[in-house]
Amino acid sequence: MTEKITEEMLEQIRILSQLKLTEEERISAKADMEVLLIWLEQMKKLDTSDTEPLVHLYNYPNVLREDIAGNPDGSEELLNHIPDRKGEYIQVPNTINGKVREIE
Amino acid sequence: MKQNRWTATELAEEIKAGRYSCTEAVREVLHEIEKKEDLLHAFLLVDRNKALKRAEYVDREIAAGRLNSTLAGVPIAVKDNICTAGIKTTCASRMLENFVPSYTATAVERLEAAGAVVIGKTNMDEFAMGSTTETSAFGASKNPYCLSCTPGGSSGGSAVAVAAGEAYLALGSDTGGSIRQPAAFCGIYGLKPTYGSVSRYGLIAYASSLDQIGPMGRSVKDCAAALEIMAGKDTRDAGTLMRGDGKLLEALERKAEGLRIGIPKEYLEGELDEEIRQALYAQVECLNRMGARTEEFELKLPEYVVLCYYTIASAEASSNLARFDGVKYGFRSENPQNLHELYQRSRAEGFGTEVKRRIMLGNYVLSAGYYRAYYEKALRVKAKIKMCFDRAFASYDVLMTPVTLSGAPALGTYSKEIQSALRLYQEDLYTVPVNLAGLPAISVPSGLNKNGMPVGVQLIGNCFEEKKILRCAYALEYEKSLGKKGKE
Repeated sequence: MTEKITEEMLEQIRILSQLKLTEEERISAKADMEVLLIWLEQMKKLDTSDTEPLVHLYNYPNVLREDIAGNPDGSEELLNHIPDRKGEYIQVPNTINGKVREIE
Repeated sequence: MKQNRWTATELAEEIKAGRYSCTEAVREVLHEIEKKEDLLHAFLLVDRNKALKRAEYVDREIAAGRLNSTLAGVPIAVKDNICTAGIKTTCASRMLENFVPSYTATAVERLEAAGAVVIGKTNMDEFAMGSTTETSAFGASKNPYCLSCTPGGSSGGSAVAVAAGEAYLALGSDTGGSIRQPAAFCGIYGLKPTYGSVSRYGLIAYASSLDQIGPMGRSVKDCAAALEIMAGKDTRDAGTLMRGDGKLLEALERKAEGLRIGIPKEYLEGELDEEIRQALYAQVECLNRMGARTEEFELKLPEYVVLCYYTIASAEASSNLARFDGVKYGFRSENPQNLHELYQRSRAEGFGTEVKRRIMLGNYVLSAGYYRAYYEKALRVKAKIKMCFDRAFASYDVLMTPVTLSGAPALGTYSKEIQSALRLYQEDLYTVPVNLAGLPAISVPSGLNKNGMPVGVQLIGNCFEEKKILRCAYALEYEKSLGKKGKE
């Protein structure tokens, strides 16, 4: 059987997933993960020693395109999506605790 | 149920002949939308003014002879995970609730260049993760055949729009059955093209090795016409490939002579609903009458196709959805104390339960220590699945299978409880192997069950052999139309 998800493992997955979880969400996420992992673990019963992992479906050679500079999507339009922007910069809070830092 | 008078390609013919106009067609679908949307909720957004303005332009271009494609003047609906410049594209998620893309997906761009008119964006499961539209952050769509039933998903809104005459044609995306299953539940055709044949540029990624955009329509010809326009190489999606001449409409023949059809025996056993089994046998009979050679055989797929799918899809989702962090675009949480809190709270507040569940599962199966046991194992299972199909296509042109175990379930079948989600995952058994092997497949409406709900059968072809499944579906469609005429 699968090892039970420990608090440490759950915390590790939470960090990798970049999610904040309430205590209630932690409890249900842990329970859900256990159910799903027990389910997925059944794959172990299948002998796959005779196969290699299939990453690419087709065996066609990679065709590279010409290296031509361009900006087909328009950088200004893309910058407009930024929720909090100052000029060419994205404004975010401090990496360490603190208020939003003014860039100027 | 009132449906449009014509199919999409018939409509284009009428417009070309000057007997109807694009503007009239757009007004007609807008009228249907106004009448039905409160009940059906197929759309997340309808852009009335934009559609009418564009219709006027398309009418002028058609009149001037500059637009004459097989879909010129046809109003289409687009699933809300496919980007449309200047039109909100939300993925049915709070995360992208106010996201207005600055560019249009290649698939839509090509259809628009051919004269199609986008009338709106359709509802779906959040980030295409689900099979009922119930994970949408904006409420579920309803099945037009029975309002208390799900239309299926994740492209549920697109299926409803076409089935209810709110659009002549729609685009969906299919990662594990998201075009074919709702098409079967709503009694329309749904075509998942070969992996790589339609550009994914502008499709908000869920699982990149499986995702494909495809058409959903009321006739085989409509689906063939749309795919013919959309398919082909695109420099903006390096995964696109072109094999064959791409002339799909030419392949449509009302006969099935010479086609070798294989029916996987094991697919007809187990929990399959008896009415669907009978519907499939009826279609087999039909193909026999039309000259095809049908035969049951053992496909021998490994038992764990659904597990393999959920491992790979979740792994890729965890990576693809890492970009939604509240920094560059999309939802940003209010007043975070530091940068990490900005990421984590934006994601916690922006994503729904099912999306978070799959992100966490994906991160687990990819993490050091578990990668080999889960993700790499799944890739090996995938290799076995591919081998089974390769073997089958050495003997058959087309495989015929059910699409679903039963007709559309009642709304509320999906809940946040893990057991309900798991039960629904397991129902994907007929559709997910097709994505894992990159194959093209079409869901063909095959009558109604005793509850009056549509059921479908699936035709699967080898990679880049869309012509064969389309020809087979076209033959079945012809037989059905003859049957209808006989009864009248």
